[in-house]
Amino acid sequence: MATIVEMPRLSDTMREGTIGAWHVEVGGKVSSGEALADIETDKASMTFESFDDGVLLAQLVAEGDTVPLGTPICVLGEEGEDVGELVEELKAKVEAAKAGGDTGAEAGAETEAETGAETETGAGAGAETGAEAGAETGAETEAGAETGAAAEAETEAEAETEAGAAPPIDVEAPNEVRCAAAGGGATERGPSRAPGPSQARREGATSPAAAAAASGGASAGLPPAPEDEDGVRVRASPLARRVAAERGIDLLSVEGSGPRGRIVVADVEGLPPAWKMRAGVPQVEARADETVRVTQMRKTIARRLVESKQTAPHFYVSCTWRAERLADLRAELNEAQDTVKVSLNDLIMRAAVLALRKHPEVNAGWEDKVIRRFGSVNLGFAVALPQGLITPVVRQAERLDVVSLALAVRELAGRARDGSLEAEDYSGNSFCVSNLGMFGVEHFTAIINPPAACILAVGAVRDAPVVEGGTLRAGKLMTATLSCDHRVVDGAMGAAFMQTLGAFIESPLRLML
Amino acid sequence: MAKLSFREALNQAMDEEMARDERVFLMGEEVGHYDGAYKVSQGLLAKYGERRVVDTPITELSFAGVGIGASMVGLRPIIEMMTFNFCILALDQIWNNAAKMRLMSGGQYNVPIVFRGPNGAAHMLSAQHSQATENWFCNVPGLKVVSPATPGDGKGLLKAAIRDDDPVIFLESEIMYNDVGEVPDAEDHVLALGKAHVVREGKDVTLIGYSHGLKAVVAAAEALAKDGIDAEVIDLRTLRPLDMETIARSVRKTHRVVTVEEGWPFGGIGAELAYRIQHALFEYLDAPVTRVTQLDMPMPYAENLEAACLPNARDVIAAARAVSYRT
Amino acid sequence: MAKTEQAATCDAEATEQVGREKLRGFLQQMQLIRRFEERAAREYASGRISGFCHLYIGQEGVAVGALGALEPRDHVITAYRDHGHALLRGCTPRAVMAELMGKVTGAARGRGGSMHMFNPEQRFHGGHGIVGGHIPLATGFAFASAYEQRGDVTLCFFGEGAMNQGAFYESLNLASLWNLPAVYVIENNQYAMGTPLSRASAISDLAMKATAFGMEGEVVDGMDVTLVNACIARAAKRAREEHRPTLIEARCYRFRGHSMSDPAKYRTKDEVDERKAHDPITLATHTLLERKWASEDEVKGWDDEAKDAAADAAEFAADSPQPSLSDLGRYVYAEPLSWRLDDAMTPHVREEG
Repeated sequence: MATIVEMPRLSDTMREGTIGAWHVEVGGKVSSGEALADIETDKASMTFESFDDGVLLAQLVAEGDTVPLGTPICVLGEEGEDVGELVEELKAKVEAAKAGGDTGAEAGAETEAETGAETETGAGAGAETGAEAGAETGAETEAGAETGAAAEAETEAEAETEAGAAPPIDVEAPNEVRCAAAGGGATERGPSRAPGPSQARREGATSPAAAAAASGGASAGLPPAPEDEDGVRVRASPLARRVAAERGIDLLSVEGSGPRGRIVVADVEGLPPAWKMRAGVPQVEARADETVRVTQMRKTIARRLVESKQTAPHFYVSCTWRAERLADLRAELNEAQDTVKVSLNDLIMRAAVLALRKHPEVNAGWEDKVIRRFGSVNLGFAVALPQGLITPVVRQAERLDVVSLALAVRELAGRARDGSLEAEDYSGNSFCVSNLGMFGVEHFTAIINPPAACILAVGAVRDAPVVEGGTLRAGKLMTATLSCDHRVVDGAMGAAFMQTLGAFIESPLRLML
Repeated sequence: MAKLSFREALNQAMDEEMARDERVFLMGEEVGHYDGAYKVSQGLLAKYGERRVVDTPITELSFAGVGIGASMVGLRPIIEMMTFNFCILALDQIWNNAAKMRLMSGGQYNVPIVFRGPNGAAHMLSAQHSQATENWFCNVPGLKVVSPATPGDGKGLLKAAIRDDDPVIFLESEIMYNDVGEVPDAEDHVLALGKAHVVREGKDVTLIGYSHGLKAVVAAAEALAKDGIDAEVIDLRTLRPLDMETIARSVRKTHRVVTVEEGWPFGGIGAELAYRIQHALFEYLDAPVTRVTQLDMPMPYAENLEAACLPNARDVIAAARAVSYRT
Repeated sequence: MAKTEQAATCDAEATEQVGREKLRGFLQQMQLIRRFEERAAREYASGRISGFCHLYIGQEGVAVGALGALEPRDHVITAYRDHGHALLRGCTPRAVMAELMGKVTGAARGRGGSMHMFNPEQRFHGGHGIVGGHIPLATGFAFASAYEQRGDVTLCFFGEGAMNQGAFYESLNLASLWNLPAVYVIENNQYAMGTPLSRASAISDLAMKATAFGMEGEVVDGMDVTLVNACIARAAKRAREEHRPTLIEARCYRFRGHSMSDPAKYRTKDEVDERKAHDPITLATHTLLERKWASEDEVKGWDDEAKDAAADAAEFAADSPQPSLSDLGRYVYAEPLSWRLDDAMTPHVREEG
């Protein structure tokens, strides 16, 4: 029975071997422990001793030839044994191995790169060895393949784990910095220094080395991470904090995309969404710009408001009033009748009407040569429609009590929405009210709606702390801002009007008179 | 430029320096008649004789000290440690004598000596023979520590180490001795100690490695590039003193750092780098400095356990993605 | 096996002292170690064993003769050429081979490899990798014996190369100073890796160093298992009864290189052949045959058994699984480190448990 002797591994780093010399001729006898050949490894020439007894039937690799580990190099057997066919077969193998000898090393290198990248081939234990070891021993893969079933099972288990969950990386591992003294030579003399952190704030630079480190543009002067209302520190990287500070960005308003919500520089710089993309999250497609046809109505709005804002010198008077009683009144009113559901805005409009009756100089308009003081309160109010803003006008509003006023407003607003207003329904206001309270708006200013000289911008009635008799208690407030055409109304006039209006709002029972 | 293996490049460096300076000699276990346990000193005995290529018994503590003594009175020894695992026996001499002589004598002595040999894990040598010792030496003021990653660097840095007037610990990698690379022929191919080398420029993340660990770093950088992360790779070359200038220049650009070493994490090279980077460059950082190290345990023998302990390119990729917020 | 012109035999007096049964046993033990090591070499060449692999071939007489002189309660420690000692102290061929292949069924559960076999149950305290580093440990075992007045003895093996380390001198001084029951055995195989004794030691008669410590010193032919046995028996008795340490130089020879990757070019083929003529196995075989204490068939049968045991060990080891990665954090501290498997795959988070 012939024994095939293969190129042995005679050093741990050897990948191929060269036959230096054969010690046994073909036909010669060899016994276990006797020198068979000299083999040159990567380190040295070694004497390779036979593991078996027998007669050398064939040498497959000539002296001076190099073959990879595991390549057949000779055949041992019994004297006279016919191994002709086997030898032919083996010689072909040797030739193939020689031809592939060089590429063998390259293939190893490729495997290394692949293992290094993320391919988890899981090809036996060998694949686990990591990049370097893979390249170290050409026999690696074989070794892997030869390991028993149990080992394979284990490898499978590993593969599962790896595929199942990306390794959790705790980049929050604590930085155990206990001492501010810089390690010797932490001096940093880079050419581009950090722009302008205050020298005075470089605390902790107690040693010359630390001072040197700090002057290299270190951590001093970086604003502390802000805290939210609950005193929780906003998680932000140092770089994100610096960039936010430079650009005046409030970190409280930024959503962090990093681990556990950390704000990273991408979040404050508005870098491309690629930085925030995670596997499995569908990408939001950017919308293309689109053009919207300008309707007649929109043209009118544009023209009138530009004209107003450019020709009427606006000034603004804001007041904040207590609104508990107004809210209470509204509730009682709606309990007492079911003709219409009276809104806060209805009450405010009613108050405006009454105040205008006391301040006719405000219920007026500019007409170039003269100022017109309107005899009636033709009360405009803003209605937001999908196609644009419109201001229907309740004519002779002073004639209407609260409920009637509310009914009139509902009727006009309904017609505005279904587009059945006539031109006279929305022209000729002597005063206007605009309310964005339903959006939670606290305060805003409005552009005067000619021919009126004033417009009242009303914010939401909101819960707020109020001081009453020196005691803080929960209350309700509302803020309104009057825009005035200074050609018609002076500051004191506007303020007086607002004072009157406030008195009605805060003592609203008079609205019912 | 010649293509040489790492061991040939180191051999050439010693050969050239011995030819250049009569005071330079090589001493260690099996450096002469055996031609080097890892064949780094091959042929030097034949060329320079027993006076200048000195075989020692297994006496690390003593021959380290003999070298230090000789260097104090004018010679320039190269002491080969068969591996740095055995150098642990010589630490007393190196720490207490080599590192401190200049200071203790008020500058009247210097110790121009090189301790060189393989460091770190090779393959399946178990706990006592697989140790990366660089951080221990780096902890000692008075020593310089060098660890090259390519044959060309190996030659240039070893020549610089031999010419240096301070004690230099020169850490090679057993499993890189066969690596082949370009090596300048020039006699004056001397690389400055204390200078890092930017191996690959990038803008997204700084990967810092050295010696054998640099291979994983380079492989990781290539893989990351395919993934749209443009990594800058720094080869430290010298571990002490650290070239913070090169590191700072990179970190100001990338804002993220991964350090890679084959030693243990506690008090390691990455720990020192992380401290210095956060201290000097705090407001340039967009993520915590993250280190890739050997697992924090003695090296087990079994192939799979050893592989699990050692850092590899996959670990570097994972760390780089983490600091780039690309998990 | 090399041919010898005339059949050398073991020392007659020592052979008488050892006796038929014991010598038959010694031969079988030596055969097992020889065949095991040959198998290990073969497995290394095929790539199934990695790392360093230091074979004991040629030196079997020392470990077999020495350990044959001990009681089970005695302690044994050696350096990195430890496969033979392990086999003699209760590590099965399967466990040693599995350790060589880094398998969980190995003598150190796949953690130690070739240089680190252990079997504390039979007081075999290991193979150790740093030259000379284990000599203080041995002295510590002896210290513990004296401390507890147990009457057991420590046998410490190391190579002649280790004698130049400081640890050797410091330990032997303590052992003598404190009257510790230790036997220090220099396995002088003539070469510290590639360095012959003549280039590493200022004196060639190593047992003379005992004088410096005020202890007994003795030289013995390590290739003759009977002489080793008799010599160690005397030293062990001295340790046990007189609480005095002994330094023994066992002169032997390794037939293979220092490790598998050592080409051993520092010695000639003639030298090796000459030494092989005094193969401890050949000597013991001839002695048994000459005295008709064993037949050729018996010897052949034992040899076949040894081969079979080695082959079985190799098969077992190859089929054994590697240690589970989930056990990676074990044996670092008393409590396993609590890495999860996925943690273990990412070294940068492998910190502080």
